[in-house]
Amino acid sequence: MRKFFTLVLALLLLTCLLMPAVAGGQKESGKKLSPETEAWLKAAKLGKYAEDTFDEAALYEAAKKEGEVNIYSYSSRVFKFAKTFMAKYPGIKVNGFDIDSGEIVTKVLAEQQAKNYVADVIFLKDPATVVHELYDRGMAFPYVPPDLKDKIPPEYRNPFVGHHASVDTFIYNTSKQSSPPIKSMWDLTKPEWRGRFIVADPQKLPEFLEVFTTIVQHSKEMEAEYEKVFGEKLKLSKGVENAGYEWLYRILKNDVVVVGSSNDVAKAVGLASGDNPPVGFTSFSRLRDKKKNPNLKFQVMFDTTPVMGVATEVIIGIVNQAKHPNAAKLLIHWMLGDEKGGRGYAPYYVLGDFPLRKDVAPPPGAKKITDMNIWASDPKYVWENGQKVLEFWVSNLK
Amino acid sequence: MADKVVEVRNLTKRFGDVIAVNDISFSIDEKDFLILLGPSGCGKTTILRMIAGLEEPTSGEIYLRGKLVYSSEKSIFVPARERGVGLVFQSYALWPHMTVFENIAFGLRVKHLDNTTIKQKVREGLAYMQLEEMENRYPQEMSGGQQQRVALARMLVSEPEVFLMDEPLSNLDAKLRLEMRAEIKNIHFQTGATTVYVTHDQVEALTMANKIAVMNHGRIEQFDHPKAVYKHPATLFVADFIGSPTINKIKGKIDAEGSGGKVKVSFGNFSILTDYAAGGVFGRDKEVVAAVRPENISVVGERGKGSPENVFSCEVNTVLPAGPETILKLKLGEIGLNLLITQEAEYRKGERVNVYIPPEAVLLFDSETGKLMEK
Amino acid sequence: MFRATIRKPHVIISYILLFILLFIVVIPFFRMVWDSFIWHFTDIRLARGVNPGAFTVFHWKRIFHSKLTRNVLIEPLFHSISTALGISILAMTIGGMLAWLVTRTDLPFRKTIGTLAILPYVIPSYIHALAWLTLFKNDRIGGAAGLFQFLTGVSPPNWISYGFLPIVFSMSLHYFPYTYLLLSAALTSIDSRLEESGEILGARRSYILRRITFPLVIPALLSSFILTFSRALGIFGAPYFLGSPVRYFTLSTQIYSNITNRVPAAGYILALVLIAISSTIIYFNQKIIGTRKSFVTIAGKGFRTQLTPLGKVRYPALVLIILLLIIAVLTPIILLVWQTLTLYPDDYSLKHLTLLYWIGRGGTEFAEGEAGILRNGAILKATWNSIKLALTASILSGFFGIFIGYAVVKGRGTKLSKLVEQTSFLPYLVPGIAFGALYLSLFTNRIGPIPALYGTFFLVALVCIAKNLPFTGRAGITSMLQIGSELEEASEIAGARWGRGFLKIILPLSINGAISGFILVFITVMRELSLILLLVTPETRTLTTMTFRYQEQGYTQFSSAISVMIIVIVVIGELATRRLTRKSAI
Repeated sequence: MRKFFTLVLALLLLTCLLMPAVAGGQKESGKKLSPETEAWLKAAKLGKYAEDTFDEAALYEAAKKEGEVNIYSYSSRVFKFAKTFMAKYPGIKVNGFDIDSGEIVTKVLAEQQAKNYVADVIFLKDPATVVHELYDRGMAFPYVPPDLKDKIPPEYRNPFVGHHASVDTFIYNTSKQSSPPIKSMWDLTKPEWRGRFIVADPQKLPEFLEVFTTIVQHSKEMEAEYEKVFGEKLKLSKGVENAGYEWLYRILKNDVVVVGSSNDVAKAVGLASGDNPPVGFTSFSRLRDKKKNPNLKFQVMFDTTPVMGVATEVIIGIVNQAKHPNAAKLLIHWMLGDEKGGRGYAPYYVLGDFPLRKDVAPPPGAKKITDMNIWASDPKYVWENGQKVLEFWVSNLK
Repeated sequence: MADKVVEVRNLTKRFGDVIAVNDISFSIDEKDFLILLGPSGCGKTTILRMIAGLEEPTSGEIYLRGKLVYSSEKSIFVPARERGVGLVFQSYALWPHMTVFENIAFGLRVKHLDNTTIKQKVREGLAYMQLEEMENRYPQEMSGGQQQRVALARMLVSEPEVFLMDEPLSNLDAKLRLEMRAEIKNIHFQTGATTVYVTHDQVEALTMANKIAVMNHGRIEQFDHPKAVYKHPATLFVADFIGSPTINKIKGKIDAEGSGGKVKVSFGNFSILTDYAAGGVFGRDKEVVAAVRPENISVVGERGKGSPENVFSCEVNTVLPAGPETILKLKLGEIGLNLLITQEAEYRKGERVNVYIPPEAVLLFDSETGKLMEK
Repeated sequence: MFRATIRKPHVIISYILLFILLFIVVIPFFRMVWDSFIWHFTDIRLARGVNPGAFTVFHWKRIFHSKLTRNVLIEPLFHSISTALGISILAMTIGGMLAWLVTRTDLPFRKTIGTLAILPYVIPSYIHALAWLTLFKNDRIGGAAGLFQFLTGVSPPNWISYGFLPIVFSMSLHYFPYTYLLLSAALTSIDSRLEESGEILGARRSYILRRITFPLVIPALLSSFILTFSRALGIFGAPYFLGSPVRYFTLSTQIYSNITNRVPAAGYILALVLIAISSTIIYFNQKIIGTRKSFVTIAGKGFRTQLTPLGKVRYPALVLIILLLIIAVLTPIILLVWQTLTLYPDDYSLKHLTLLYWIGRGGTEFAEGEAGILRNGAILKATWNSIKLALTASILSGFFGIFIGYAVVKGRGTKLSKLVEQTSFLPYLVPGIAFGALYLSLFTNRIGPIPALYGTFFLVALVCIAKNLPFTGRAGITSMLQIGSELEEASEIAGARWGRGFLKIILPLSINGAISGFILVFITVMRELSLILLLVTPETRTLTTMTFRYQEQGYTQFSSAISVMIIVIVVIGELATRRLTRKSAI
């Protein structure tokens, strides 16, 4: 009996001893960089050691010595630009990995803590999280190719360089409806749209939480829009803070359908078989799915008010202690393309993805992002309010 | 003086709060065949396992041929593999994934003997146990008796200094058991190996042992030759445990002196004369148990010969004829009496018979202590 | 006393095992508790004045007493319990009937049916859920109509398409082999003489079934109910696919959301709630039937079973079982294979069937130009990873199980043995996704003698080993119980050291019994998703993590094709072991 208690005690003691050591790993924060990171930055010529000129030949030479580069990408199109990159710069192998944005952050955090540095380049959505969880802790650094500095507006290199903007927007089924069935976002709170509005799950997909948070941020506009649609002042429901939240609250009460991915939304709307097809809210770039599957019949509603959608940014960064910094730089430069779009950028030079370079014209048939009636997400606001919006969403799910 | 082959001193084993073996000491000599006899749970197997080194005693000492193999005080514990003993298990413990040959060879391989020697020794062992054709069989393909022989062969080939056997015959049917009993006795005769044998079968003990330790509740009640154990059981427990049918026990009180200054015991309306001299501890009204072996009681004629004393008229309750002998269950007042008779006679239930109990056949035990009283 | 302890090998093994278990089970468990009480870096998003690493009850308050409580805790808890109850009752009914029919009656083709009945378990559970969706999807989530609606023109109501009913139904079809195996073991162990003596006394068949057979299997019935129930509590795939469209969340989907949203503390608290429920139930189960357990009589020698003649219902029963197998095995597999052949997802028309997704060369506009899975390097690599992982995990945890069995059985009755047994059972109660998350946060740092393991194949294998210890440990204990202790003692008497005895006697004898644990782990790991989802790196990704990714991106054909590959590998594995050992897998 005594032996047993001794054992349990020993176990507990050991556990307690180990806990703080383990938990301690999470405390590190702040802008102060470790000497190792400083040394790496210096060697990699990043951060304050960044060069002013872009010397492609020199970079290629250095990159060839590194031989390969690992990129964690939120999108499977990574394989396409990797292929063209390898054709252009023989001797450098690109290992592209297709991982969800949220998971990229989790994995980089884990790699940094384990000091097992796999990723060189990260290419992902949700800049707010990347800035606060990686950049602020010295775990990821921006790289803006010096020759492109002037071609990318300053708001898109703050601090990470924006690769393109992706817009999440309202879509409708074109086989059953000849024109957009709604005019205003508030229409979706009307009884006839009960159970007929499909969104992707913000609990699972951070970019949709970003979108909802942006709607909350623009509560003034939402309030004005309500008056315009219903001709009366918006009366907030009990415990609801503003018009943005009220819209979320009302679509939830109007039995909004939540599905697992943006692709599911496109399918739900585009393949709808009933006479009363639903409308959806999904990624603009899902339009390219129509090429893969001619059965998909949907179109973006460009004229929804107050806005047709929300723009979120896709950014690129280099991970702390990356083993192939030169190849990483070369790859990033390739990804950002040239003034005609460029082969590196080509996979994203499609309807629904919006180039951020000032000198690049939108792809044929698309508008310039600045010409569209959208709200751009504000990483700072999203970071500070995102979880509050999510809590609101979750607590009103039923 | 030659060393004892096995000697245990003040051996005690506790399992938690249970005392399985309680302060036991005994020793045996070369060529002894000791049987530890007792009901299940009396601690006999535990003693065997402690001698083998499979169980660690709580305290005490064990010597094998003068070598101290366990001592609680000196913190000595020689593991089983170094004690040089052989053990036959109740379940034989043959390894089911090995052939008979491999089973027997295992102990020899452990000793790093060369292959030819191993082969030769195993073959000898097989031949000795009449298992020549069996060496490539697996244990589960053999009968119980054959398995038993393999287990014995496995012990024999390793030539241990002491044979230990833990109820080796209890899984066999009656006929085989008789056969194997003779076989084991024969092995003992031929090898002269000192043997410690555990059983709960008193017939087995009486027929095979030259020394018996009768055990009860972790203690040795009597350690003696088989005859002595039978004729002069040290305690009521031993008297009761040994002998079939069981000894007759009559609870009573010491009565007035009988003829010739001998003790008389009264029970109910009857009294029985014994061979014990009155006086001393045999005070009046002392509670005792008078015990008589069934074969010592005889049926007598209408009046009986000699003194009418110790002749009782009983009612026949059950008759159990068994070939040459018959067991009679009689009723004497409230008391049941068992008789073992060899003469051929017909008895019917309800019939009355006279029986005679010779005074010298009566053993008296102290009711309080259960011990045999001195004559 | 200490010396005495040291001398007993099983005690030493127990301590070694406990030391290993400390790192792979105990510390992760305590870490989970601990983590629910501290601020995490990501919590700065949730509240002001957060000091990462410092103690707080914020998360507990947030889960148990805030506006989130109802939707994050209460409702999901209610749903978890009600679906788990439904699944266990239905699976027990199907599995129990099947077990009785196969073991105790003269049903035709009993042997074959007994083998086939295990198949639904070989199919990954989410396949059953997805098959349901393909069949009974209604207009609610839009998209192509389900087959039912396609054929009848009637859109099924929500309660048929999503939520409680489909989760219970599809998962019962997945779990009945589990209850079938547990119960048929119990039924075969009943000596039919017990029933015959009832018959001799003049009782009718139905009376015997009710008054003799049934009470005899009650303990087995109860414990398999409990085992199924606590497993069903943690299922993730089905509620995830079938629940979300009607916002029917369970604790496990909530754990997943919270962990992917990087609020692990909330996930851990919910996981602790699940653990509390299952351990309470298991505790009471042991209290109640602990004493009664003994009368499932394994009569040993001379025991036989008398088959009950089914008479007129013999063939109707067979037809019913065939129907069941068609629904539970054939339908999902056919749908799955069909999906891999469709050119466009959800377009089941015959003219659009293609082998593109199996053997396409890539570079087409389909599937972002990826090559078909049989030509796709990444997928072949993942296949190899999966097989490597499943083999490593099953072999290592199989051996681990043998040692656990040895330590537990040799030490029977001691506290130490109990401690080893219970500690190794603990992972059964921790939901896979939470276990994975714990390993992620725990093994990214150096802990004790273990270096940081994140990103290594070993870590992924380790979590699979730990999570499957309850199964292999159980198998180890069972097989060790069948090896009499005197077999080992005999080798010691013969002069062999412990190591030799273990190697030559215990190991060869126990390995056959441990095989069933081994193949079960192989199957489980081949299908494992939630446990390793967070731990795999691009280098160590497995087939299941690839299907999940493809499923999410809408490449149904790829994800289905990979699922087909998983099933094929699992079936080959099962057949191979069966051939090698003449033992059934699960």
